Order: sequence, then structure tokens, then C-alpha cells
Amino acid sequence: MIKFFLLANRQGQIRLSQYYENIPFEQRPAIEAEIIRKCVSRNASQCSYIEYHSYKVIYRKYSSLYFIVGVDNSENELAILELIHNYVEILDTSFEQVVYKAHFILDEMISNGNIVEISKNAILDYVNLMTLTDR
Amino acid sequence: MERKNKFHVGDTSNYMFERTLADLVRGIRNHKKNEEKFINQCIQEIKMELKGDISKKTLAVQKLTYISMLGYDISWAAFNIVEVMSATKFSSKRVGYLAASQSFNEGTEVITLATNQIRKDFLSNQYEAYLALNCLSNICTPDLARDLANDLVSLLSTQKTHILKRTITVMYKIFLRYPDSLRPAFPKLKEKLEDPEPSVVSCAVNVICELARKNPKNYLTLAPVLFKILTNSTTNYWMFIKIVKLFGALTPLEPRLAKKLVDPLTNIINTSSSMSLLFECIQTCIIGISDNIPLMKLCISKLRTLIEHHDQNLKYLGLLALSNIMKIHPKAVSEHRELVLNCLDDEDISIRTRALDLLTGMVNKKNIHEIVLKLLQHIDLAEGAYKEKILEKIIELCSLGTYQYITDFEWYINVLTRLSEIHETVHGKLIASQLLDVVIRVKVVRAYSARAMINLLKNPKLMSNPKENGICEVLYAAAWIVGEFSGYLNQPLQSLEAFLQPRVSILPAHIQSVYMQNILKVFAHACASANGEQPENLDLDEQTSPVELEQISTETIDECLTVLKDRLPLFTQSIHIDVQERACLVNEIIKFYSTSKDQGTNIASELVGLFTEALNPVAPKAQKKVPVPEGLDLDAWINDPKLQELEESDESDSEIFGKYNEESDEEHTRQPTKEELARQKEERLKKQANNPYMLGNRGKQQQQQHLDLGDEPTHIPVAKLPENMGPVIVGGRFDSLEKKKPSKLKKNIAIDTTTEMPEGAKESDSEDERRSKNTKSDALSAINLDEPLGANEVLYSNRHRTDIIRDREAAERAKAAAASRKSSPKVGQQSPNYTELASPEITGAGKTKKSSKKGEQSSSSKKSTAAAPAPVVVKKPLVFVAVSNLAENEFFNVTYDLRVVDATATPDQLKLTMKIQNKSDEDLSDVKLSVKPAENTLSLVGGEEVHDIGIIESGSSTTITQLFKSENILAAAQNPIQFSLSATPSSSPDVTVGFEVATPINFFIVGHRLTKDKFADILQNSGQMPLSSVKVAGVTSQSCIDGLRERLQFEVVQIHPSGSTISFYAKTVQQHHIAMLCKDRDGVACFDVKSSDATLSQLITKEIKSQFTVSN
Repeated sequence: MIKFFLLANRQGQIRLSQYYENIPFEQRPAIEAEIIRKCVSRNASQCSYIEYHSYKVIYRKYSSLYFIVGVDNSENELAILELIHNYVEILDTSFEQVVYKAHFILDEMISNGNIVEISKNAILDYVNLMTLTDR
Repeated sequence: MERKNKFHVGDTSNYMFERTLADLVRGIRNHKKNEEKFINQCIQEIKMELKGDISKKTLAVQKLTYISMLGYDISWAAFNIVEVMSATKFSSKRVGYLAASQSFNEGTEVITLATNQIRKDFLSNQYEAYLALNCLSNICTPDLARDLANDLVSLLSTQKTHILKRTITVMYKIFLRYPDSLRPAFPKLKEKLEDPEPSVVSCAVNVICELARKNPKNYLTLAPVLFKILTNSTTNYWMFIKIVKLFGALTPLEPRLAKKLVDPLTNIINTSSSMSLLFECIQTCIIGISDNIPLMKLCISKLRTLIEHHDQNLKYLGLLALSNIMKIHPKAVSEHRELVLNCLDDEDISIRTRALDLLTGMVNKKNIHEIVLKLLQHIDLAEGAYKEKILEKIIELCSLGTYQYITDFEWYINVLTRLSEIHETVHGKLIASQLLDVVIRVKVVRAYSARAMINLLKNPKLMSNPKENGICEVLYAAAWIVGEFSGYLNQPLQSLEAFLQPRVSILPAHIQSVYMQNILKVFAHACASANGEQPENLDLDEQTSPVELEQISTETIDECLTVLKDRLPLFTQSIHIDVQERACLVNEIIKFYSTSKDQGTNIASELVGLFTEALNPVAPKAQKKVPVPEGLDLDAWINDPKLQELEESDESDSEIFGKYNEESDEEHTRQPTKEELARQKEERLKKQANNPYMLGNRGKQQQQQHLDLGDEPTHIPVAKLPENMGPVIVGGRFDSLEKKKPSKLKKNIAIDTTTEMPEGAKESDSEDERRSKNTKSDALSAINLDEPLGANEVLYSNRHRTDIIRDREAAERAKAAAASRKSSPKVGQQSPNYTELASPEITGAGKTKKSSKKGEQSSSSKKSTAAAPAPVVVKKPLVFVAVSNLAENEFFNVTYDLRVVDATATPDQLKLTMKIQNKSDEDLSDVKLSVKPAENTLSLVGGEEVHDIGIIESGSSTTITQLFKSENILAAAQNPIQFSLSATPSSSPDVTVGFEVATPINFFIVGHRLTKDKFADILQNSGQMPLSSVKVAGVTSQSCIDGLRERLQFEVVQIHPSGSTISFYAKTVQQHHIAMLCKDRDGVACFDVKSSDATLSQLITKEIKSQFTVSN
């Protein structure tokens, strides 16, 4: 199961955070900061996994953004890396209003810690639809 | 955000002053220096805005969501978030739901307020349902799960894929929070595995995969379906991975499945271009199909390519998987030693750590030196946690199987000494315990280690910056070894000087205590040696110490005394109480020694006598294994608590303690018998055989153990050390470590693996078993899905209070109406979608009782809503309740209750209970009741036509029960049972009353659940069925379903999606089929009844008509 999904920049500022497990709010900033610090301190020659407490943290860096996914022990690391890539590609195609849309695209892809949709078109269709109904 | 801006500009007055989200973000960026102040100011503004109208609130909540992401607490706004969630405008609702899913948790109390909103949104359009589902998956509490489970199960029938996917994944959260929902909801979930839409299947697989991790046994039956999905080609690798993972959970339970999987998995491993899928297949093979050697070989070769890959991610995973294989096939992995050792040089610390893990399976007697040497090189370069890991690993490797790979213990002592040079470690204790363990178990190394340890004691570095658990802990072991084996050392003066260095006083208290204790030991041995006595615990006949033990001169003793007298006072004033106490004790003993020596008596032998008892390692579980002596009940009071107060005599106390001491002394001195030793050995072997870290195949290993451990643990053949061992290098660095090549002579060094166990300890590791039993698995994994669903396992459905009251009233009305064969239907059920909720298993129990009591039905009914607490009479039917008045005159009041005896066993038997009350002032005598069913309708079961009751006194009553069996139900339904009651009152002429009890057709109908296919079959095969119709106005489809179920036991077969047409089915006890179609035409319900008999059809239409017209 996917436990959380973070998006952060190099300075360690969180740009998006979504938890699929109940981690107390008080602890979240500390956890986030520590994970991001660990990610940032690693270089390209190192593998993209970190073991953090009971989680496996899988991250990937795109320009100055870190996409960080925390999973439990049962998850396939490579599949998560592929998932991040998929997410980034979709973000790319709809790069206006990223902040808000990022959440909805993520919601489209992952529900309750499970991957539910991978087709880029299907995701974008729905996200666009949702934005349309907004107006 | 742009949208908000427009809105903001376009609006008038007040809005001009509010920040939009974009403003907020910009503001935060502009206030880098005093961000917190700025945000607090914004929060104040937001609090104001939350008092405004809904659009203001929406804006406020939107900003709060952003602020919460920055780590600020917004729990105070939970109620406002719920308000925004309930907004009618979609854009507001969406903001509200996002805020809720980001900021609510189990402790948010207002969540309960959202329950109804969420339920409402489920049934609303798909976009709102989508929001609600998404949010629910984040904020689900046990209460929400219980209240909404039923609604979610209904949602599983939706045609909208988009909603369906989300519903399926949310179901998992529901199961987690409310495990009772798993069994009723699972059949529905199972269906989704065969959904035509691949993404729906994927969701179902995901959820089942998670469930299977909790209790795989439940999902074995799904294997064929899953296998089909696996072999069908799909492009969704993520789902593929989950399926393969799911098989990984299932195969250990079903070997046949493993066999079946070999081909498809081999195929995928060989052909797949996706590394993630390849990796998952390998993982599954390792878990489930590890005994298939060709497949394992394929896996290992694939892993090798992964490890050699330049991508670090693949390398890492390759090592990870390899270490999993190592646990099963250690030999197969050890072939790749070089590869793994190379990974130790990798620049990525994660990869090095993985490689380190693998080393456990790589070592053997030949290469342990080489590997440890390599690790020692790494430890110098490493930092932080990785350094600690290497340290742990070195010790783990060396201590594997009670030092089974170590051939040269002096080398190992050197390694440990070398490890104690690492300053920033938290493993001081670990090293110390290794030192102690090795020295105690391996006698040959004692002399060598004692000399090495005295150097450690003198090493000032160990004492710099001492802290708990730091490296100074090593001194604890060093001090003990030097003291305990000072006989080997023969350097009392040096030892004492080392013990009494002034800086020792800055060490932690427990270490200083050991120092004090061992001062005495050293001194005692020195005195004994000076006295010409041979220390007893020195096994000099079994080994030759390289250093000749010279007798210690009396001058040395005097010097020692001077040193002690000079330096001990520092410690007798120690701030640590334990240290002070021991120092004082030592001081007193020394004084006593000097004075007695001055008086001419030498107490050296008495002194050394304090320490002659040999210390052996005690097994970690020894304390627990002390058997309870026969006749001792640990739970019983030794003294009755009350009695104790009364007889507080010293005598009894002393007796208790006296006895106790005797026993313990006896235990202490008893030597283990031969059988016990043999048993202990066996136990030990067993333990080792079960050790997963033990290398080599089992058979060999056992032989080896025989060799290594010797025949009897007490008579360990101790190897003689070569006499010409050369100079001793203490605390040697690499050079010394490298030089030492294991020589063949040393191979048989004895390792004392015995541990002290209490007498009569049980063989089995029973406490382990107990513990594993005690570990409470969580509720979800305890659920067994193989059992058929019980009738009471229905999902809880939350209903409105008014519904419950209405039901209760309806139930009461029905009770009253049963007498007049007219009943009122139950109306206003909330959940319209119940038809396919229950699984087919339920029908067995579902033959509801043909009772006039509604409460009884609900307990076994299929309908989810029936489980609600509403019906009030559920448990009552056992008590006789006079249901309806039958006949009444000035003397009698007759009430009765008619019901089916047992709906499942004897559906064709009716039970009549009749209560006859004498309400007159006179006693009635010669009361007789005659029962006459009409010809060829019902027959009496037991009992006679005339019941002779006898006397009923004034005001009292009597009860009569009579069973009937149906002969011809159609006739019985038309002809009531005739009764006549006669009596002779004491002062009036005889009275006779006649009355009748009708047995309407609904007493002979059995509910029967059918699938629509079977229903169609019956309609087709039964040929021409007489049709009868009736029209009733003002009946809703729901009230119709409820009414027919309760009154006539009709079961719904199918509901047309529009809800306007419903088909029903039921059987009579004499197996007539009854099919009915109910059509709703603008408020007028038209019931078409078809059955095998024309009369039956008419009777039923009559019944329906009477039922529904009354209620309207």
C-alpha cells in the first residue's frame, strides 16, 4: 500500500502532501522535513530508496522538484518509480494551475493507497471534466 | 485561483478586502522573514471570513487547506469544513472535501456530522459521489465505516466505472475500520474480479491483495479467477504486479497452485520487458515456489544481471531479493560471493547496507578472516549508522552458530580489541558482552585475553568522554576479565594500578563497581600465589600458558598494599553509592589482611576462597524454565490473608525461611545427571537445526556439531595450544590480524556452548509457543470467509429515528390486524437498493417464519435494514401474548395466536394457542372446547377434537395449544376452523359460544429466493398458468416490497432499473409456484399473479388487495 505522497522542492518546502494512512498531524512536518532532507542529501549515483522507520521511501527528482512516495514493505519499488514518472508526465500535459490540479490528478491515480488508474487520457479526461463542472 | 480572482474583483464592497489563495501564497513568499507572523495574521482574517456566507467560507477553507500543508494546525475549523462540504455549489463542496481529507483524522469529532452528507453525496451525481468517496478513504473512522458500509455495498452495483473503482478501494478502508463488514460485502467484491472493465478488475485485485496479506487462506478459492486474469494479456503492469504479489501470498498455502504457476511465471521472467514485473515475479517465486530448483536458478541468474546493472535502483533490489533467497537456499547464494563483496565498495550507502546483510550467508571457516578484514577496512571510512551496522555485522558473523566459523579465537579477541578503538559507537555493551562470552566459553583464550584486556584498561582513549552505552562499556568486560583471570595474568601490581587510575572515577557507576570488585579478586589471587597456592579455577593441566607463571614475591604484595592504601580513598568517597560501598568493603578487607598479617596469620587462602566458584553462562530463558516443584501451587495463598493478621508469630516465619534455604542449597549443589546432560544436548542440537542462519545442509551440519561440540558438554576436549606460539601481540592492528593464518592444529578449539539451565526445565520452548498464541492478530485477519454467511450478518444500516418509530408503529398495527386478517404495510424504508445485497447462502436460513409477528421475521430476514434496532418485539414471541380477541361475551374472553410451528422443519404445521379467560364473577365448570377444522382442510396433530378443560375460576384463565397439519391448503385458506366453547356457570344456565379462526393463504406460503434465470425457467416450463390481477392505488414500490415480504413471504427476484417494475416469487408449502409482477403505473400498482392453481392466484390477489387497501 502507498502510505503517503509528497512533492517538495530543493529547499525542503512541501508543495503537495497526501497521506493514505493516519499519521498524526503534529508529526507530519517533522517526518516530511526528515525525509526531504534525506532525499536532498542523496546524489544521482545513489539508488532512489530510503528506509525510513517502517516505510520504504521511494523518490524521484524532476528538475528541482522531488516526488516522494512512502510505501509499506509489500510494495514494488520499481512500480512506484514508474508511477511517479506517469504522474509527472500527466502533470506536464496540464501544467497550468498545477498546485490545485496536482491533487486531483493524484486522486485520480491513487485511491486509498492503491493505484486505480494509469491511462493518461482517462485521467486527464476526468480532471478536465471536473474542472469544467466547476464553472 | 484565477477563477477566484475574478469572483473577488467582480463582487462588491466586503470582498475587496479578502485575500484569495493566490494572494496568500504570494504573501507567504513575500514574507520570508516573518512567515509565521504573516500566517497568524491570515488565520485571524480567515476566522473572520468563516463567519460570512458560504462563498466566503469556501475561500477561507481553501486558504486553510494551504496553510495546513505548511504544518499549521487547522483542527479548530473542522466544523466550518463540514459546512463547506455540505454546500450545494459543487466548487465549494469540492474545496470542503479536499480540506476534510487533508485535515480530519480519527479524533475529529465533527466527522459524525458529515455522515449523512457523505451518504447523500453517494447518491447524488457521480462527481459528488467521487468527492465523497475520495474523502471517505482519507477520513474513515470505525463509526463512519459502520454507518456507511451498507451504502458503499449498494454503490458497488453502480455502472459508472469511475465511481465503482473508488468504491472498491474505499471498501478496503471500511474493512479495516469495521471488520464485521467483510463477510457480508465480500461476495459483491468478488464479482468485481470478473468485471469487463480492466481498471475495475485492477482495483478489486488491489483490495484483495491487501486483504490476502492479512489472512491468505480466505482467498484461495479465488485462485482460478486470478489465474485467468494473470494469463490473459493486459497492459496494466501495476495490476499484473499486484496479481503476482497476491499469488505470492497464496502459494505457500497451496502447493498445487505453485506448480501451476511455474510456467506462466517462467514465461514472464524470460520475456517481460518490465523490470518491475520481473522483480515481482522473482519475489513471488522466492516466497512460494522456492523448491523448484530450475526456477530458482533462473531467478538467481536474473538477479545477478540486476545486481550488475549500472542502475543503482536495480542493483539495490537485486541484493534485496538475493538476501531473501539466502534465507532459503544459502548455498546457491554463496556462489555469488564476489559479486556481493564488490557491492560493499559501492558509493551508495543503501546498497552497501544490503550487501552487508547478505554477508551472513557468505561466510565460512575459510573466508571469515578475509571478510572481516574487509569490513574492518570499511569501518574506518564509514560514518554514523552505517559504521554501527558494520560493527554489528562483524560481531554477528563471528558469533554465528556459537562461533562455529571461528578457528582462531586470539584473532577474534584482536578483532574485538580493534573494534573497541571505535569511539563514537553505541555498541560498547555489545562488544563487552562478546568479550565476556568468548572468554567464558573458550578456555584456551583466557590467558591471552586477560593480557589484551589489561592493555585496554590502560588505554586512556577509552576513558575519554565516557557515557552510558558508549565504548567505555568495554572496560566493564575488560575489568572483569582481568580480575577473574588474574591467575593467568600474574601481574597484580600493573592490574591494580590500572584499576585505580584517578580518571577511573569519571566512568559510569556500574563500571566503577566492577573495578572495585575485581581489585579484590586480583589482590586475593596475588596473595594466594605469594602464599604458594595454585589458583583452583586455573586449568593449567589442560593448557599451557605461554608465559610461565612465576610465584609472586611478598615484596610485590607489599607494593600492592601501598598502591591500594594510597588510591582507594578516592573511591571510598565516591558519589555513587554502590561504588562507595564496594570500595569501603575492599578497604576494610585490606586493612583486616594487613593487621592479621602483622599478627602472623595469613588469610590469603580465605580471601581467594571468596572467588573460586566458577561462573558459567546462564541460558537466557533459564529463569522462565525453572519448573514448579510438585505440590507447589503458585497461585495459592501461602498464608491466608486474613489469618495472617491474626497469627503473626515469628515461629512460622522462620520456619518458612528455614525450609526455603535448605531447598535452594540442595538445588545449588546438585550436579546434573547424565540423562539430563544428554537431554540438554539434544535440545541444543534441535535448536541449532532450526536456526535459519545455520549454513550447510542439515545432515552434515549435525555431524559437524558432534565433532565441534564434543560428546559431553562437561568433558569438552580442550585443544592443546602449540608451545611455540611466538610473541604475543596484544591489541594488534592489521599486520597482526593478517599474519595469523588459521592453522590446522587450532581447528578443534573447544567452545563451551553449554548454558546453565535449571533442573527439570521443560524441553520444548513452550513459552515461545505461548507467546505466538498470545499475539493478538487484528480483527480483519481473524475473519474466515469460507463459512457461509449467517442470517444475522448483515450490514448495519443507519436509519432515521422517525423511520424506526414508524416501523414500530407498523409492527404494532400488524399485530392487531393479524386477528382481523388485515394488516398495515410497513412504509418508508430508507434504503431502496437492497435486492442483491445478501449472498445466496443466506436463503437456507432465510425461509422466514410465517408468523404474524413482524419482529420475528426481522431477525432472519435478508434485508439489511431489518438488522436495525427498530422492531421492538423481536425476542418476545416465546412468551404467550394474546394477540387478538376472538370471542367475548359476559363470561368468556377468548384470545388466540396462530403461527407456523417451524418455518424450516415443518412448514406445513400450524400452532394455535388460545387463551380462555373467565371474566365473570362466577366460577365456570365443565368447560369444553371442541375444535372442528372443515372437511379435508387441516388435520389435528395430537390432541382431540374436544378439549375438556374442567373448571375455570372467576377471573382466572387457561391456555390451550393445538397443532394442525395442512391437508389441502387451498380449501383451508377458504374455510376457517370452527370452535365451540361450552361451560356451566355456577349460578347461571349453561353457555355455549361458537367462533371461528381463519387460516388465510399467507400461512402456507414459503419465501424462496430465486435468481432471475431460474425464475424465467419456471415461468417457461410450467406451461399455462392461470393469471389473476388486482390494482391498488397509492402503493409505492418500496412499501410494496416490504408489505409483500412481511405479509406473504414474497421474495424479490428482480427490480427493473427504473424501479417501476418488480418481479416476485414464492412457493406454497405444497410446492405450488407463485410468480408475481408488480407494475407501478403513475401511483397505481398493478399486481399480476400467476400460479399453478387458479384459486391460489385469486386468493393471493384477494390477500394483496385487502392488505394494501387497508393501509391506504
